Amino acid sequence: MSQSTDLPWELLNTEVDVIIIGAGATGGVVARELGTAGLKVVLMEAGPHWEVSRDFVSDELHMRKTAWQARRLTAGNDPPELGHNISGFGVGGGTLHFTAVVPRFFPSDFQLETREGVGADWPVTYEDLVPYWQALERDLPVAGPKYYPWGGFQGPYPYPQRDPIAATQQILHIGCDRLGIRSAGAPLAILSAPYNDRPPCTNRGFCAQGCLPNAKFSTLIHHIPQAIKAGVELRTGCMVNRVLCGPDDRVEGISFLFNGQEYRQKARVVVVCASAIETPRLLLMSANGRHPQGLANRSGLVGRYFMLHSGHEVIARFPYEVLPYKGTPITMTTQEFYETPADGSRVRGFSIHAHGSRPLAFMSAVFKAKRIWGKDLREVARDYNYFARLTLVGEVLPSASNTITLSTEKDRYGLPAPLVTFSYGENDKNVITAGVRTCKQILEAAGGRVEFVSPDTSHMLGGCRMGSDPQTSVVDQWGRSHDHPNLFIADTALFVTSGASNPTITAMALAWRTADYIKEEFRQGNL
Amino acid sequence: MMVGTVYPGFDVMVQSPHWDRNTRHLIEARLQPPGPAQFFSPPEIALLEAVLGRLLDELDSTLLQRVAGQIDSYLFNNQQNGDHKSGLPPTGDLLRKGLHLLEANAVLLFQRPFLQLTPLEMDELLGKVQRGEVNWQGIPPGEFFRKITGIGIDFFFSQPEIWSEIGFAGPAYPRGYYRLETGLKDPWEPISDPEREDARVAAGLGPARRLE
Repeated sequence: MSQSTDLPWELLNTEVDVIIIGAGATGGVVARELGTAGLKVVLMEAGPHWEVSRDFVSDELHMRKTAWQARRLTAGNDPPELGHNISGFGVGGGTLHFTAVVPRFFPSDFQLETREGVGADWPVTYEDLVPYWQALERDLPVAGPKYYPWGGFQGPYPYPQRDPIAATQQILHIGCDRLGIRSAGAPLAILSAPYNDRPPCTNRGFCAQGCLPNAKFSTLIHHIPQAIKAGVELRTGCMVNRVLCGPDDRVEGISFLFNGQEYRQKARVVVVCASAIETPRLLLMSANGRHPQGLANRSGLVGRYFMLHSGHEVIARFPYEVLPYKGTPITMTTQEFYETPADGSRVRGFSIHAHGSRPLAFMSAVFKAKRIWGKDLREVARDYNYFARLTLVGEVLPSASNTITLSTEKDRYGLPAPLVTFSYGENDKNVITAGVRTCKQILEAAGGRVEFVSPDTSHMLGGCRMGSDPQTSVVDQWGRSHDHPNLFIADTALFVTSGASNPTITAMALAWRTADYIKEEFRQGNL
Repeated sequence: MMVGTVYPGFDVMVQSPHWDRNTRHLIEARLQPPGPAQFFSPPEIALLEAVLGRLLDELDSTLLQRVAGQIDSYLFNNQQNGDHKSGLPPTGDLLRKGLHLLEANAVLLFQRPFLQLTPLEMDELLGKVQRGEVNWQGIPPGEFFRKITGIGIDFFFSQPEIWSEIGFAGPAYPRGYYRLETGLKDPWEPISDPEREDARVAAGLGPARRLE
């Protein structure tokens, strides 16, 4: 192990209180909370430390650099695309390019087994997370409607709903109105009025590429600067390759790769916030003689119950110019079909978002839907401005056979590339069928002619699920490993079920709750 | 009947002085002719250009050269998202291998290299590849077809003259968009030509016919 003196890290040769792995949506929250509590914290990030004004541009193609680029393999009946739509790279992680849609999970999401006889119950309830959602809605802050018709929170949101809304968003509103379906402004972590030194949104439309005016929240511009100010040491370009575990089952720190060299960092607590692919992968890569199945894996469930949302796109041609590039990509939503319908045709449901599109997103969806090329494809492109798109966020039930495992191929770091195996179950397909049908009805009611249905997925979840029983879960209700008292997971990997809401604010709420627990355990001398 | 853009005369680059400097430089660089290929060999890049011309229905060889050159440097710099289906080679290898097999198929089927096929013959062969009606060792033809078309779409529809053609008003920082609702446009957005709209409708294209 080489430790030259010109390395940029002050805390390398000390034992710190906490190492957080992953500077994305949840790592940022945990770092700020633990840093401002006075703990000595190191925040590890595989990617670069982006600077918005230097690194961000208004271009779909170029901004794919904010997606995870190292090799990942996919398998199963429905092998997902794992690119820009799903992953993040660099400080800010997925919040750099998420659409900033931040509804809470519904109360029913936490009790699927009890209420529906499927999946499993979470070891936390909706009420447990309410104070954290509330705090985050003020912290980010969230702009949304005065009255929100679904779930456990009916508003009002701290910041007013965005106004005006673009033509592509009006289409959802009008279609729903004509069908008697309620629709509403989506709660967004995008400013409708100034907040500190951040201006309101300029409707530029490039949320999924990275916000330039900083009207959209990301941990890059919000939590992580606050963490650094509180003394957290951020290390970028550092790929953690192993969590180190002692003979007493306590973790002792990590090893990580920086410019091809391996280094070690000792810590009293390790918190993994590396995503539903990288978190289980890291635990599996950390196998040792005492834990040949990987760390935190006495249950054998690390990497199991991996989930995505179905994210089918339904695209319709309209009699007028929709100009789908303008405005915040997702501004209007309906969560009317979130839960199990009375007719028993499916368990659980979906949300539908109006979804603007820039040319690459649009043309890729068109090609995926019908595999047209040549003249047919080019003519659709020339009609780009007449099309509007709705996107599904469909619940996918947890299945033990959807997994993250280690493949025999190596990634750019020389580490075993993760293999993501994913297949939809019967109920998942029923949710998709109903969701696509409803999207079509809404678009047609608004005067559109549906031409393309493109399969897609979004949001990686699960793989280290939480639970009360160490036999059937990886971590407890605080995100603490059942097997290692000072190893925590605080990202979407611990999701027990997928819900049908964009998961970011719920993942951040859980992470903040874990950070509070860690603070209290330190205070009591238990860590 | 050939019906082109409904936005004749719209040039998104006219607006580029209103874009932030980094975006402007990036898009201006995209308009420059490519340097020598680094990932593909000269015959491979010529083949790639010809294939892209058919997949994207484009005849302008200068434009196709730029698109192929930008794909080449993207692969050379290993910038692609690293995910791929288990059992498939990484994107660059898949494309290179597929181009060679395509060339072999052209000779087998038409006794001529791909570049000497007529457009119709090229389309016939590409259709066979898409449908998996060719006998390829090592890589599934359909996967090659999806990948090369997908990458072609990404780079072709990132060209500013194509943005102008389809009426994408382009980058908008720091200016933003403020006239968002149905029927409204900011002053710099493209104005569609009603006669061309009508011509597209007559050809079964363009805006949907109103049902009401």
